Amino acid sequence: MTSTRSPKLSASAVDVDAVCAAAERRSDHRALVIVGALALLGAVLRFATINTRSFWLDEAITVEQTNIPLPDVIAGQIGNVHPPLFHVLMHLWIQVFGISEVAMRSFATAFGIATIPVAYWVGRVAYGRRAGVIAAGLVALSPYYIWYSQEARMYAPMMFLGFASLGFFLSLLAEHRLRWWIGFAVTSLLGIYTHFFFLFLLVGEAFAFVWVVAQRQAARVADGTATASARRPWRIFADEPMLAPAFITATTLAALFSVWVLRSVVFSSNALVSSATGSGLGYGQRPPELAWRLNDAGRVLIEMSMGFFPNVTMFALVAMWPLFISLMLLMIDGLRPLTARSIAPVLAVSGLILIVAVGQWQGQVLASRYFISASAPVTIVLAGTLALAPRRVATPLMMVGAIALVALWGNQSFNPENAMRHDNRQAIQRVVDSYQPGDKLVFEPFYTGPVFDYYVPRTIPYYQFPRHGLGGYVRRGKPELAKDLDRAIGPTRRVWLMLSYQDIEVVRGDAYNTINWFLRNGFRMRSDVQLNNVRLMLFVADQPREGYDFQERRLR
Amino acid sequence: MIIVEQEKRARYTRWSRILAAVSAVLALVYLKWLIFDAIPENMTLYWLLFVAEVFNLGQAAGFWYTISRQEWREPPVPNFSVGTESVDVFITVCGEPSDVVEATLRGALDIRHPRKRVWVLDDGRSSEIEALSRRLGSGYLVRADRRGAKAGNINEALKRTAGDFVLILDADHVPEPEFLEQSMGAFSGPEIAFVQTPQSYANRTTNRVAAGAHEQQALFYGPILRGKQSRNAVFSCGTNVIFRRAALESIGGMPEDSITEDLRVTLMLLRKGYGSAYVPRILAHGMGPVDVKGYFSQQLRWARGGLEILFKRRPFFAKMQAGTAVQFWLSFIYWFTGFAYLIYLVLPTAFLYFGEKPVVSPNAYPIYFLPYVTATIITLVWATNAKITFRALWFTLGSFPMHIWALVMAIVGRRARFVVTSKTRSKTSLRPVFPHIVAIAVLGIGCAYAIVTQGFTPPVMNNVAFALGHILILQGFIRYAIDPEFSAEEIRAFEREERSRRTEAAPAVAEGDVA
Repeated sequence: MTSTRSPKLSASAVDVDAVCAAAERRSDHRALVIVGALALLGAVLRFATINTRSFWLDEAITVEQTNIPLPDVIAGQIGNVHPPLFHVLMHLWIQVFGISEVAMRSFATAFGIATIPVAYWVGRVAYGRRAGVIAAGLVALSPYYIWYSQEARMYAPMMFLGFASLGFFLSLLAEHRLRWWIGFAVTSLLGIYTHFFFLFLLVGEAFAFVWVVAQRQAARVADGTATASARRPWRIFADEPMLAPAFITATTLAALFSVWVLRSVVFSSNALVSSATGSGLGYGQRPPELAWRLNDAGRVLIEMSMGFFPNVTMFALVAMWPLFISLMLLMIDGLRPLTARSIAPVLAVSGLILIVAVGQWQGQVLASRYFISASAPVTIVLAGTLALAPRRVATPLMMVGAIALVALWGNQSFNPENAMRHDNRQAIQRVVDSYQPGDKLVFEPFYTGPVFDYYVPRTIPYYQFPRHGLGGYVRRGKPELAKDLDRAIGPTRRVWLMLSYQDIEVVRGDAYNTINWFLRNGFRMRSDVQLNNVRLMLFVADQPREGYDFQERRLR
Repeated sequence: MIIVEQEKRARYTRWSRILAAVSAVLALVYLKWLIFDAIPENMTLYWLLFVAEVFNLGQAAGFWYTISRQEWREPPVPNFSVGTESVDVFITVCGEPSDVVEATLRGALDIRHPRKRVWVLDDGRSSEIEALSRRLGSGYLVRADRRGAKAGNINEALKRTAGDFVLILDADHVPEPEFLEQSMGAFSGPEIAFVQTPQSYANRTTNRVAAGAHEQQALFYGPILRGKQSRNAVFSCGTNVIFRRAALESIGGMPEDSITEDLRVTLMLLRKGYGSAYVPRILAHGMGPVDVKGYFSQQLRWARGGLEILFKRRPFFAKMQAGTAVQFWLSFIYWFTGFAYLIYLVLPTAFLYFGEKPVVSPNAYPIYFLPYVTATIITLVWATNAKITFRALWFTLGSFPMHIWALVMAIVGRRARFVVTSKTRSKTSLRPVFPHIVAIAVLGIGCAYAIVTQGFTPPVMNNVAFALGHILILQGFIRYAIDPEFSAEEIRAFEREERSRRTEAAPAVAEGDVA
């Protein structure tokens, strides 16, 4: 549009523009300084507590799967529930830094810290500078993000790539440029090669993209500039410049992804019955009761904020579902036809809905770590909401929120009652210190085996129950347990029993039956201590157990 | 006002129908569970829940039916210069401040029509108003008594004037100059007795109560009246309405035996075989209630008038078409909402204090209830073109004491009196919101009591969540009773928003202004 401003007006307009540009630069500079400080604070919070807990099962599995020759790393991932990128990168990392807890976890921490400035960028693209700073603050201080930035798993890289993919996606919607498309394609490809659940985010982005294109086309139809019609639908590629690159990106991603998927999943008979289906909730089974699943989903909130999930609190929280209705009513004011700014909420909601929906058939999907695939849009929406709220409300809210987040982080990392901390090291050290030749170490739950492989010296024999599935012996019955224990304990007279994950009901049930077995089979409990939330008991039999055939190594 | 652009109407209607159908199916699934599968625990509470839910479902079904039948009629702009019809503009006054009347009078005098005559019908008999009308050049009518309130005032004026049509404006409703040009075309035939246009509150930008009332009315003057129009069930709302004189005279003028003469006259005209039309275009800007007391008194009058007609005036007649009857039924049963809401307040209270609950299976309840309530909310958002606000919802539910009071009065048969909604703010008082304070106190103490005595158990937390939801709804009126005016900051923010909206709508004009 041409302007007919007078020279005097133009001159003053230039001055105004210059002043505005200078103010913009100052604001940008200030924001970057704040984000830098937040990144520094995020790094301190992450490194300060990086070693306050021992490896848990999955981290120990990471060591097993990556501390081997590279061809074996890749071969090992075929048919696995996870794609290979993280394992390959982790293998390379190990070559430089070793396999200590801190070294292994630092890989995730690096990504966790790098996510902070990326979150600023995405928040800025979506809702402006203020939202960017708030998003960076949320990522830096959130106990959820800190927790997964300290885990030797692929969730921190996934988090980083999720934010990056979302940033490129929002950028390309606002501005049709090649670099955004390339950025989006690369981060998305790396994302799905890091974790299959990255697809949740991509499906949400695809949904939002289709919606935006449909709206633009409807506008073109309304003003008569559309050339596509029911007879010539392919003309929509001429109408909508974003469709061709979207098509190319989608097919390229699908092709490159299928290179691995076909090899790994389709041709591997074990792929669909691997550890993700360990709970017995395999694909194709009848979906469990929705209320129970809501319970699982709600548990995530507790785990995110407090780091642990006592069942009683969970049930009470899930029972507060009527608050969802109040929330819906409160949100009713914000529901408007889709605009560029409202894409992030759509992504956030659709991602969450997808996870919960899949969770109906695959219960373990509802674990909090898998929600990382939807966490980027959720964080950006939260930041946007705070940024757009009146300052007199938002500023104190953010200050209180920041204090609360740091307090929760402290509670999560230092609270000895936090079952998620499950630090086995002190208990194992006690066994090592008090070890007498002939002693045996038995641990519950059975699936923590790789953790013991990592920590227990080879000189101490330890017993891992046969893998019967997560239901454990509560489901399989006490005779089965007795048979296994008989076989495991044999003539041993001193047995250490170590219990972690005591908050899980199945584990408590197994532990109860195990303790009973010892007490009924000639053992007495000599000591019973809690060390960093791990229960360590020593059972001693005064004389060799009767009825055990030492030749046959079984009960007579 | 909820406006849907012309090019979006086909899609809007199609999706309104789809969402209405989906909501209806989910509602039936929930109802089936409630009747056949749910296991009652406390029978009294179960039946209370059942009655409230059936009422709610009936009302929701009516809403879905109404939004599925929406019609847009674009009346032609008539050429007044070739016609012969004349119009009397009645401004009904009863003690309103003269500056308020002056704005309306000036607006009425500016209405474009060659054969229009403006009359001030002053039941307040104010010399100031008389001088004003003489100064501005309008007719001024007073009567010896105030019999029949507003209806009597209009009837008296009808005797002393002769226009073919009568535009009725409340003293605080300032009309646009194009009022008659945009609405008279809707008199498409002699069977159309009146044409109603929307009410809009100009003071919604400065007063919270007016803003809430405005938002609440937006739903009524949007999809609901558009739907009612298709079933010949538009009713007169007392102001911003044009009557055909012949139609009014055929029923002996405005009925003076009801405090909601607008609804009553609609039914009487319908019985005479007349029809009505609705023009969904804001053509006058009025003043909404300025405090909670004023809003409640307006709600009480409407509720009492509506229920009185339902119980005493036999609103339905044999020749009334089914669709029309359904629409009027829906308008009448709206006033039972307060009773249903009271039941919803009782249910968590009964549990929190006495541990009594209506059904046994708490886990199954959300599975059936949440999809239904979610679909209902989505349908509501869609039908209002995403213009519905949370405030509009709590204005409806929070009016429950007035609705219940009106229902009780209608049942015991006490006669209602016409009260003009006050246009000036009364002294700050918490008296009108006393029931809300009591309800919040009962719910809040109940929450604490149940948690202390029973602990954070799932059933307790479930009912605490319900109680918190109610507290969220009820607290609004208490806040507004204490401070009904928007702060200066909020008014400025609203003005900024309005300005940017206008700039976005007309960038070329803005550019031209600079040049």
